Amino acid sequence: MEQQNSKKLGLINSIVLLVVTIGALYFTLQTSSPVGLGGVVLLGIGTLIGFFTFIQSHLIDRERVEALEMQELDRTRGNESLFAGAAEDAYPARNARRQFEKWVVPIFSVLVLIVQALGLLLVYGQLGGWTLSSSAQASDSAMPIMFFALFMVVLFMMGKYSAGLAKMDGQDLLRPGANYMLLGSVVCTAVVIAETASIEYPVWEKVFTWVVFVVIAVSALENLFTLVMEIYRPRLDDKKARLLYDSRLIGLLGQPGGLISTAANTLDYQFGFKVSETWFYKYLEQKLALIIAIQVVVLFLSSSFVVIQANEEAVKERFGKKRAKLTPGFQLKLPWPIDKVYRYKTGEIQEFVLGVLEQNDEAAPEVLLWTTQHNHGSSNDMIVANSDVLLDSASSDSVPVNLLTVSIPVQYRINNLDHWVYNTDNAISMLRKISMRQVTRYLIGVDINELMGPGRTTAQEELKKVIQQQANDMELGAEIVFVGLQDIHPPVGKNEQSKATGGVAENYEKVNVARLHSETNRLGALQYKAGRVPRAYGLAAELLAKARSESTNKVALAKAEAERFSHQISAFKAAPSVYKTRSKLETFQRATRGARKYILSDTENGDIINLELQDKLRSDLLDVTVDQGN
Amino acid sequence: MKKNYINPSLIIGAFLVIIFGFMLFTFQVREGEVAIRFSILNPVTDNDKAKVGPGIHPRLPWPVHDVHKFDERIQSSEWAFEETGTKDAQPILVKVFVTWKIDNALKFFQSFSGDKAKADDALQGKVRSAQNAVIGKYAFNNLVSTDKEELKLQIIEDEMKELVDAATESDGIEVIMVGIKRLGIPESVTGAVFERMKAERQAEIQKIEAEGERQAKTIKAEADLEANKILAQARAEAIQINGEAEAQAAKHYEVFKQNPELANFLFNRKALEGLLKENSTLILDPNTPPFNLLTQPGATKVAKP
Repeated sequence: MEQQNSKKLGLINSIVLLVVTIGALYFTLQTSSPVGLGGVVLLGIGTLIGFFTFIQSHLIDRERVEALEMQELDRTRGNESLFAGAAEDAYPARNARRQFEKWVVPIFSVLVLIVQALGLLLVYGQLGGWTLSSSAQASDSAMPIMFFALFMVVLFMMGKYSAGLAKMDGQDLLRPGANYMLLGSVVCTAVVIAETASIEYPVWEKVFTWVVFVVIAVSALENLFTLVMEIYRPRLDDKKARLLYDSRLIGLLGQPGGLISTAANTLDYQFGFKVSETWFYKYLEQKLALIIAIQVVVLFLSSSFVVIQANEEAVKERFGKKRAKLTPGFQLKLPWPIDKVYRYKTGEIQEFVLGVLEQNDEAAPEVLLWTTQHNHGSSNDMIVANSDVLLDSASSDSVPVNLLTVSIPVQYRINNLDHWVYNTDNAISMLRKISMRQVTRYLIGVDINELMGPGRTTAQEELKKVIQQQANDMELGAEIVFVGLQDIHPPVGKNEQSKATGGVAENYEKVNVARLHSETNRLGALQYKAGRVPRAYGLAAELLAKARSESTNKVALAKAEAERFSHQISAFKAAPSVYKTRSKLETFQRATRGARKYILSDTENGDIINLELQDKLRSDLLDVTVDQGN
Repeated sequence: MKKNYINPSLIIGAFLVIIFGFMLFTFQVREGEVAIRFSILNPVTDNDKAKVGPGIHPRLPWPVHDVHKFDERIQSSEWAFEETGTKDAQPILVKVFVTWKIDNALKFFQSFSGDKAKADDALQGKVRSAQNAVIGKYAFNNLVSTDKEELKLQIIEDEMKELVDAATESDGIEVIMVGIKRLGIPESVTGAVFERMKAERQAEIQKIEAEGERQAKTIKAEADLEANKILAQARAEAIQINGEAEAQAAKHYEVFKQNPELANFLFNRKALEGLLKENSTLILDPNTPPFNLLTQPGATKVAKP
């Protein structure tokens, strides 16, 4: 009779679990609650196990009836040798139960494992895309909260009743379903708390979801371990096998009281005596709740102080209302949730970079060139005004702009914490936006050549000033410390057309090369000038010196010739013809010493006497002597 | 045995009940937030009555009281970098951001169910519409120019704000600023701008190189000129020196007047001596002294050609 009641209860439990699972699924989809989804997975597994245990208990019940019938048959027919020790075939129900436990139970355990794995994937997916629930969704979750509370009560009551019955002999098939019901009740409680707290403490939902995720993961591992160990378990006829799909973990979590008795039994077994009966163990068991309570109180009190670091400041809110600004050091506060402290690094210089792309994992290049992409993307090129009249672009219809690759670090420090925290929802994002706005406004009105050249320092100061001004106007509570323009340059600008002429940045570099060539030309000319003029002075000096020398020579010679002439007159007067002849012949002899002379011996016949009175006119090849040393 | 009346389990349970009750029957509004509290017992339609400021406030559990909290601080929204056209049909990419805050929580809740994402979506359409309408009224050089007089960015932002203000009047939000965060040009135009920038640089290169050559040639020409001047001056001075020497030498030649015949003879002799330099070839008559000695009777021919 008890068996019949147990079977009925098992069926009722399974149906209740099924209804609760469907209800929980419905409300989970409505609220998008990840912890609810975890609960659905657990309840679904519990439902499967519930129905399975019902089938198994039906087989056991059949076996029990069959055994009774066989006993009755034995008793009515006496000890007739024909039926004594009946063959196995005479017990079809027992055989069916054995075959069921041998084949179907392991297969079902594998099925449970697969469901657990799928459930894990499902819950993990929810955790991955988890976001804070907005307040608008809070009122929508009221109805689900109520139903989850109802599920919690129903599951707890039925689970507790079934768990109590399962402790009786022959009722252990009720235990797995009861465990899942009790754990389901705990998870429903978690859903209620998480959904209720989602307005104030949305992070709770994530914490609970992680807990449920871990529970499913560990029970899946336990299931896998049990399946593997089942292969090596010795089969003894008198040893009753444990249900493969009955998780000890789920049992412990569903009935935590069992944890203490399990631990006590383990200690007794390990030490060989009743550790659980020692005074210390009994004292610990009595005071465990007190110890936990003290722990909770200590934890609660630990939220009564805060240590603010030297580079920090904090605001203290009491029930959400701004109360005080906390300076560095040890500060007392009322415990959570009365006082809450929000800390900010007000002393620290912080930085964001405008125009820079997301950093990739690749190592930064050691050399940053205009001609290669670094930190920027072509889509980040910014418009800069153009006043270059070289090509008379103002008179054409082309877009009168240039593009510039920009990466501007902006460093700031919080200088008014109240403004920083309470004036904007995200002060950093706001500062970025207004900084970018000011950079854009500046660039569209400045000439690129001015910006790239002497105007860079001015631009840096001007940008810092206007960003600070805008931050002050918006009362952001930030002090702009530095605005850097070191990474502003022409875009790489390479495309199909630029294969021959190079990219934009390359052409900017070519301008520099042209400047260098030009300077080289100019310096070459200066070098020429530096040599040409002094050399001319030198030639001039030489000319003048020669002229002066010739002049001196001429005058001196004239004077000497005049003096000689005075003496020559005397000689001439003494013997005019002799003097002339002598003088002529002497002169002839002296003057023609090096001349080749031909004398026409016979003026009529043209005979010539060649007087070799001098050296040969020129040497020929045969006269060249070879150095013996060579 | 004295019975222990303090049950720790009871303490923990009471503690949890207190926390849970605290959460159910109170709500906190942070500084910078605003809340509205609805009651089914006394429905409110006035923002001032529904609005609840920072601090802790009592409430009854839903559905008696329904509380919604909103961030009252300045918030910002921005959307895509969108292409639009100027008055002179120039395409331009514009990225606009808006800073706004909730100024009427009740209206905000009624308009967007209190959902900031919905408010963002609604704002996006209104801002885009204002952006395209206003920018279409201005020429490209009102957006980008080195001439400060031409730039009208502030006016454009102000006009956009006016339009967005008007469109969001009944939404419970106050628009604080509509700002142009970025301006850009479409990808197709970018290539052309690159080419133009390169052409500018090439022209700059030509200009610089030509200027360099000009300077070099000028410097060289000036150097040549200066050198020639120096040499010419030196030559002139040399001629002058030579003339002066001639004049001085002439004074000494006065003595030659005493016997012009002898003087001429001596000058001729000197000239002859100067003319008969080395390698001269003389073809002489045998009667020329002293070779006439060769033709005197009894003399032997020295050589025959």
